[in-house]
Amino acid sequence: VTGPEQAAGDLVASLYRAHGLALIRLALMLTGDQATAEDVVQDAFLGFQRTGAGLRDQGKALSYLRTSVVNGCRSVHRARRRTFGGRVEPDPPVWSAEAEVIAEQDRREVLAAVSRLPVRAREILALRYYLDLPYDDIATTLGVSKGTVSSTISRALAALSRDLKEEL
Amino acid sequence: VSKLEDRLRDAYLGAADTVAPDSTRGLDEPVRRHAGAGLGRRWGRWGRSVLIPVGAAAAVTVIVVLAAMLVRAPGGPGILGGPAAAGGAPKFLIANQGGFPLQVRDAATGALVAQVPRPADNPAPRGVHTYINSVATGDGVSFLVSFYRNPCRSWVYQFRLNAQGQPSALTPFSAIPSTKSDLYGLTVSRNGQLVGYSTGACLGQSPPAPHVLAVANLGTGKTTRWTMTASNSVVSVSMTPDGRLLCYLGASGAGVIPTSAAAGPVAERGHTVVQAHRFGPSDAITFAVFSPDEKSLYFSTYTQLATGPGPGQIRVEDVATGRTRVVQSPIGSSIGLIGLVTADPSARYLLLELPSGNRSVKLGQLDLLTGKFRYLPSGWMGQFASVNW
Repeated sequence: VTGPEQAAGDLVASLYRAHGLALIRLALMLTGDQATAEDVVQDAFLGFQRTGAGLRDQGKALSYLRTSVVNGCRSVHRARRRTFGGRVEPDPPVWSAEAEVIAEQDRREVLAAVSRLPVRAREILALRYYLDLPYDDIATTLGVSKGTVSSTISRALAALSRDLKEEL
Repeated sequence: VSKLEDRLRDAYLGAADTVAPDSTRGLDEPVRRHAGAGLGRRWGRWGRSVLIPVGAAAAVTVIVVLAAMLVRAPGGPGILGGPAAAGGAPKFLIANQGGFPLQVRDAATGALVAQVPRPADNPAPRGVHTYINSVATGDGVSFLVSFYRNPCRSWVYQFRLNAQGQPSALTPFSAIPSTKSDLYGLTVSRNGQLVGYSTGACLGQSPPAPHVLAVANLGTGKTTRWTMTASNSVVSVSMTPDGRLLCYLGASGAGVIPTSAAAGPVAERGHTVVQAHRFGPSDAITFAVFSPDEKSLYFSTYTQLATGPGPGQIRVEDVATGRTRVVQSPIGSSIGLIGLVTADPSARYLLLELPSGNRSVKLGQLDLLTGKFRYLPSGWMGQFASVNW
């Protein structure tokens, strides 16, 4: 391992220690089960180390990883439709009563309602209300405009309001 | 903020809390199952390329404590004060598995003596996991602990152990207020007057905060900060017993900065003592700690081989001459990375985490004075996020 490769490895390890769990949790919001979430995050870190993107800037590295995780979750959704074809179901999502991992019914209901939203809306809501990212960062992560972020959040909240019978 | 938004946040936190830190696999562990296109098994790749850096990163959470077990300086706030530990190796160890409770373990037997629960008064919402970032002690009796929770908040609390190893309740450490950053690397001077630490950026922090080294002087109430370059991070921090020097381990090696230096860039106020590549192009340092007399710097190196981690060594450098020699290699029957390493308050006994086959680990004790090494009881086998004594 050469010096730059070692530095890359150190940075990857440092980033994983600091942010791996939070990224797994973000992936959990988007995929529904922990094993898949861990797969996605591991894949993101592998890609990060392989490409060396943003190695000299921790902020850019984090942004890169966040984008990779969101994209990876999106790929999982596509792969599930394409590969499993309904024949092999993934683990039940954490928000399902079947999974029995979230005790509070209200939380399950909210997450289940979110899971019925379009993928892009789910991504934006997770970035906004779980990671507390500002609109600018969400736009950068997803490669969309700030206006798209704003309008998607408005539409998603309106849809959730109807679904959960909760006033905005 | 609408009630719906509150429900959303609460639901997300509930989902996040289902993923406990000790339930996730590391980067070097295999993918559990096929999850979709492009997500294959990669044990081998990660095992070779990331295992060692992950081990080094684990050391991030380990604080090398230098404060000697000598009579404490009289006067001053002394909030870390307490009865000096008896001579010899420490009686108790503090371990954790990534979150509360902290475990107080008997150093001789490995037996669990007591647990330190999460502080009841901490403002982190219930149900939000808190991560232990570091634990430090100046005397083996009074401890500081820093912990973190998303999104982006760290706290420092303190507790004490009595002679039986029973802990007091955790109380806020007022000298270091809660901060919106990732605070770790606590280290304490012998007289308890100086507390060193490091802060770094949180997930999603925009713009990302640079890594900062800091020393809080409890006597004057003043905190001095030094900023790392954007491309450099801090792996661990330790302070000389007299509080004169702060030793930091960055990506490229170990450096030192006088605690009396004015605030500013680390690159200007400090200097590098040992660079990892001196020992080989694929070598790295996992911890560094000064001897109590500041004449020697002990550090651990390892060599990355194509087949995985190579032998780990404990080395010591004469600071005056720059000469380096190997203190111990290999250690015990270990052939791999020396993982977590901490020094006891006297800086005489190093606590080492050593690979032991079948992905298990053992803890060992190296006496730097006599050079004698011994494994701690087998009851110690297990995985810890950090272990301190």
